[in-house]
Amino acid sequence: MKKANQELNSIFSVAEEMVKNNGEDCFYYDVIDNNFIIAALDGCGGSGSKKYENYSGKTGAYIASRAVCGGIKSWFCESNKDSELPKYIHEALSVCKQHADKAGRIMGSLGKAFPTTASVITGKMDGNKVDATCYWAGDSRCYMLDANGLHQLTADDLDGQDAMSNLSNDGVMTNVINASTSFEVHNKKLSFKSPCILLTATDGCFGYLNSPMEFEYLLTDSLIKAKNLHEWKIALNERMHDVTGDDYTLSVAICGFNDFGEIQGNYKKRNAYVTDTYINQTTDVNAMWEIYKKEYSTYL
Amino acid sequence: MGSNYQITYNVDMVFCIDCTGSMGNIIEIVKKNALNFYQDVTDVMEKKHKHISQLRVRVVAFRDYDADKEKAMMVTDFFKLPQEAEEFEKCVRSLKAEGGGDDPEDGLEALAYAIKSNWDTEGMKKRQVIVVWTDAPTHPIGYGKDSGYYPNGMASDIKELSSWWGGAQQSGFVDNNAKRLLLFAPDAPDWNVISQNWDNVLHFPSEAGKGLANLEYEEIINTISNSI
Repeated sequence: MKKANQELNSIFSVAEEMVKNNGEDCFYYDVIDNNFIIAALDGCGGSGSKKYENYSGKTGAYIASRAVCGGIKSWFCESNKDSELPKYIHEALSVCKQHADKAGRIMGSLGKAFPTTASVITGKMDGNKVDATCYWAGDSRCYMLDANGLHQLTADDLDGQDAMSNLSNDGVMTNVINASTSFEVHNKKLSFKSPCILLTATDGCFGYLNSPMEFEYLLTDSLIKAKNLHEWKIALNERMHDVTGDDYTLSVAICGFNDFGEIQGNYKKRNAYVTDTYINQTTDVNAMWEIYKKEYSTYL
Repeated sequence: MGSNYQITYNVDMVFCIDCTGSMGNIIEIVKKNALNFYQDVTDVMEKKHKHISQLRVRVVAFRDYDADKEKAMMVTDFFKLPQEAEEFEKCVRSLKAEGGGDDPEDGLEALAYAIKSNWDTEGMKKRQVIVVWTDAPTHPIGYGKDSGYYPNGMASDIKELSSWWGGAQQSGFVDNNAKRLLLFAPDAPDWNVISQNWDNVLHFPSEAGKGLANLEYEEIINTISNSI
């Protein structure tokens, strides 16, 4: 039997903006010593529509995702303690406010100063497992993909029932990072058997598909049809570009595989199962979701 | 799955327009804004690749029950756009600023009519947008009760009207996720109470949007469109 690799294989992000140079998503990935981080943030274009002359006419949403991403980077490089991430995020927002134009005349609960979501995973390989911590606020998500399928690790800060209903109910977020109101950065420690793939994603990646099953299919089908990692990244970009109606950002950490062939091998059987059971079926999608969600929701 | 899949939106808008005498100097601008508003929202949505499969617009023109009696409220059905654009335009252009009596008007009753609209509940995603243009504070709800023309079944007070709008704990007559309220109204009772306490509200405090800068209008349109 082949010895399991106990290392982080690769870490990367794929992203695209709908309007060139005005995309409101942001990402970060890094490795320091044995610790890695993947992050995806989505500045909220509705509530953060205010444009700031002091920020070259960019919107609060555009500034927020970048500033908070910078705060996350500083935190990872300087501290990396769970309890201190909110402090770094608040500091980033405070700098945004400090240099912003004076408050505008528009009032009301729909507008917020510098609103953004964030989904972050930090992790460390430990023998044949990955010790990870998820941090999140808003509707961006952390996922783990293993041979049993895709697992959503973080509960959306939306008033919808689950990942399926959130695709159509399009609710207002119940918690989002911003400089106007209080918010919470949730965190959750988890341990996964390696090999596996960890992902953080903004809603542009998964929110324009028919069902959560299709997001897993998008990930694994593009993977098993690629010749190498570079091709997989291109295919991920192409597939999300085809279906999305928003900026999208997907950050990926591949853990514990020996080579690309082994990554593909790990997901081939599962991809065939998902294709046959969910994708090539004409059964009511909600009925299929009821079956699929048992495994998908294991960590929620 | 794949590139053929496209999320579509059903959007309903209700325009509540103050048609009392004090609006005389700005009613034409408000009418122009009302006629442009839905197009500006749909343009921004299309730019973001958000496709509207059905758009309907309705008009609630309001004055003051106590002073204007049977002319206090004019309510239309929804116009389907673009099919009924001509009828909608004709309706908006026919509005006249007259009457009103004292300074406050019956804007809350107009809002109540808007909230109780026959909203579209179909479609993959929906938005239910109410826009109010007024230069006046509101009477307390029920102020014109004795006019002889006051509608039955009206909310009894602002608290009940708030419950019609709904909140995180309980839904009202508008879909909690779909609803958006945009006020071009003075920072005065009860518009400021609504602005401070109701969910999903944007309030530009001025006389019916007077003095609205381009940048501010753009922010409002983007907030409404991007949160769709």
